Amino acid sequence: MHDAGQHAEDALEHWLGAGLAWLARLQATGLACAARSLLDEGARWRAHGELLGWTEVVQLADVVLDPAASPATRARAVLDLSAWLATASSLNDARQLLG
Amino acid sequence: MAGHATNEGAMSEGAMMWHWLRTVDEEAIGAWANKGLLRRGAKVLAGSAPVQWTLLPAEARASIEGHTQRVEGVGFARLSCDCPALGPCHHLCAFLLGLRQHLLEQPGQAPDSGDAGLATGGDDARSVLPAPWLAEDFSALERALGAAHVRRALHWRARGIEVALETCDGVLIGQFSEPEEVTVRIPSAGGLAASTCGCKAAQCAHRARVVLQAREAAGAPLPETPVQALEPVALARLAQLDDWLQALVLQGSTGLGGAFIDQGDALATELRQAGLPRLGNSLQALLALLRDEQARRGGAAERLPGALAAVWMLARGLRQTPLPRPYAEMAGEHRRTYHRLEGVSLLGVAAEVWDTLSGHRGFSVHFLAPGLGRYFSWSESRARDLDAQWMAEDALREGQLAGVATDVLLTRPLCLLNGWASRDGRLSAREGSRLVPLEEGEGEATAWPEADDLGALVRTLGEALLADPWQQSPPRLARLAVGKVGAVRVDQALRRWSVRASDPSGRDFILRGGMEGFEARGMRKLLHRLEAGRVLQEVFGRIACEGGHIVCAPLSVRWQGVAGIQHLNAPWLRTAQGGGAQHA
Repeated sequence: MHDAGQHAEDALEHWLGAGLAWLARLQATGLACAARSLLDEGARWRAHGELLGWTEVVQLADVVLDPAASPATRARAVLDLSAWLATASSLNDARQLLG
Repeated sequence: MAGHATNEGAMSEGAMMWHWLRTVDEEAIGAWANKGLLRRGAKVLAGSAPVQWTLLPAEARASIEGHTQRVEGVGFARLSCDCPALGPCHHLCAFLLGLRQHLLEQPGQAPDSGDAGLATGGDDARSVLPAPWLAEDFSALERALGAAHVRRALHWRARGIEVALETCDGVLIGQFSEPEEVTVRIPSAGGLAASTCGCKAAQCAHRARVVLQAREAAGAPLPETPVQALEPVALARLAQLDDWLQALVLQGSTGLGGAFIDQGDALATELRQAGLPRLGNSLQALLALLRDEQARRGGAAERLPGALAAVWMLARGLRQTPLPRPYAEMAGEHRRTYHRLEGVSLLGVAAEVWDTLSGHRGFSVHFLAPGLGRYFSWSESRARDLDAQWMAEDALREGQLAGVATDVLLTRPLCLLNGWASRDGRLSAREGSRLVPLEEGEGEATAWPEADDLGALVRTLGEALLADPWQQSPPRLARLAVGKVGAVRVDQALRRWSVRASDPSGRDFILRGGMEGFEARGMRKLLHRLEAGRVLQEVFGRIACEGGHIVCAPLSVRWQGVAGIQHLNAPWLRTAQGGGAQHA
């Protein structure tokens, strides 16, 4: 049981880290000129999030990756996504600090 | 004051004036003028021949020190004196004091003396008057208060700014502790026209807030204006910030132009000016990372999403009504808000010189206050473009805080007899600061104090992060005792070095620094000594939490078996503990 819990935590931590790393690359490149490969990487990360059950984050990723959405809407979704992931990551850091 | 939200319906203006004049006491006069003018007026009144009073139904006149004073209605705005002073003068103070005394001593002489009860000016008279701030019709009050002031007071109400209210002898008294410490007095005799406020303005939001709160407490109707906690100028800045952030996300940070970053700088300043210093500072932290990334300094890119999120979360929260967290927490506090310190013992623990990619350079001297268990910093800086001749190293060598030279600051225990510091520990060098060097063994710390407890520090950081995950507060200062030190690792790609270390009880932390500018100098000194087999005893620096680990950017160190502190970024200074500063 403990191992299963630890495994879930590790998976979540890995997924959060991967999401922040992807966002960092997207932020460096710019959403307007993101290459197909970078967007595909985001789609894979989004699919992993769906498996973990992070519905709201997945919905935001859908907007970011939707070519039909307006640039402003997609940009706001990137910002909302950053807020979700950074908050989760900070809370995870706090949990680690407090043991 | 224009407009009179008094008891006009119940009493004529003239009758109200006479009643008001009977109730204007020294406290009210002092609040309107000031205590100095009040004292001078009382002295003139006591030393001059008896004043000849002219009392008419709606006017009173007198002549004091050759000048004529007059009152023609309710309120201080209806007073005049033909002396050259602008605004309140000691003649008018003497006039009000003398007139009240005359009316109370000879009640039959006033034109309203037939009005029994009011003419005595006593408690009975006061109880006759209704509280004008509770008038049924708020629109008359709003005219007297000023619509803009009412709007501002409604914003304050939405932010949760409360006033300590009391009613004493028919006077409604409101004491503010924020946004500034002022006292408002609104007498039932005369109402708003006769009111005073410590801000000295004839109309103000303080009065409006007092009236709103008194009405709310009494269940009287309030204006129906839908109100957000933020004022229009702050909302406009938030909209600009939205646009700027979206543009940043769309164009990316790699090819960002200097003009775009400068625009962000201007916006950060405007956010602070609009009363949102926390958001302004968060944006400034994001801009510093963008500049770092452009210069390929120490891993800025990986920290960008967190910095972006901190700005976005705060901006999004501030647009909500009601605010999701207390206004004071979300808006933050201006660094310029300094609080007084008295009799605080200080020990100099580090000096550093620094420069920023935004074009500023400066120095800082850090102090431990053993009695308070916290650190303070004194800094000076200049914009490179505005003062190209100013050199931070020279300024540090020649610097003085409250007349005490840097060498002395770093070698002797000190007592700050009188000074000012911001909540985040910035010491002001303002006039009036008094700092005294002590002899060794004097003051609170007779021996070098023990290092900070890393376990307690970790708990504090963790709890702060849990309470506010979006904080972008400046890193904390701390002194850590060093047990073990690992191998030095240099990351050329991120232009930084790091060393894994632990405190004597085995708690891990990471020492990390940059490899550019002044930091490079510190790195060489530190690494050279570590490679030579020296043993670190204590490190002082900026502490932050990154990825669940404690990271310390060192500013000064102490070595086992070597007296004194080594200042990593100001290596010409080596402070011998208990001895003089030595130039290396």
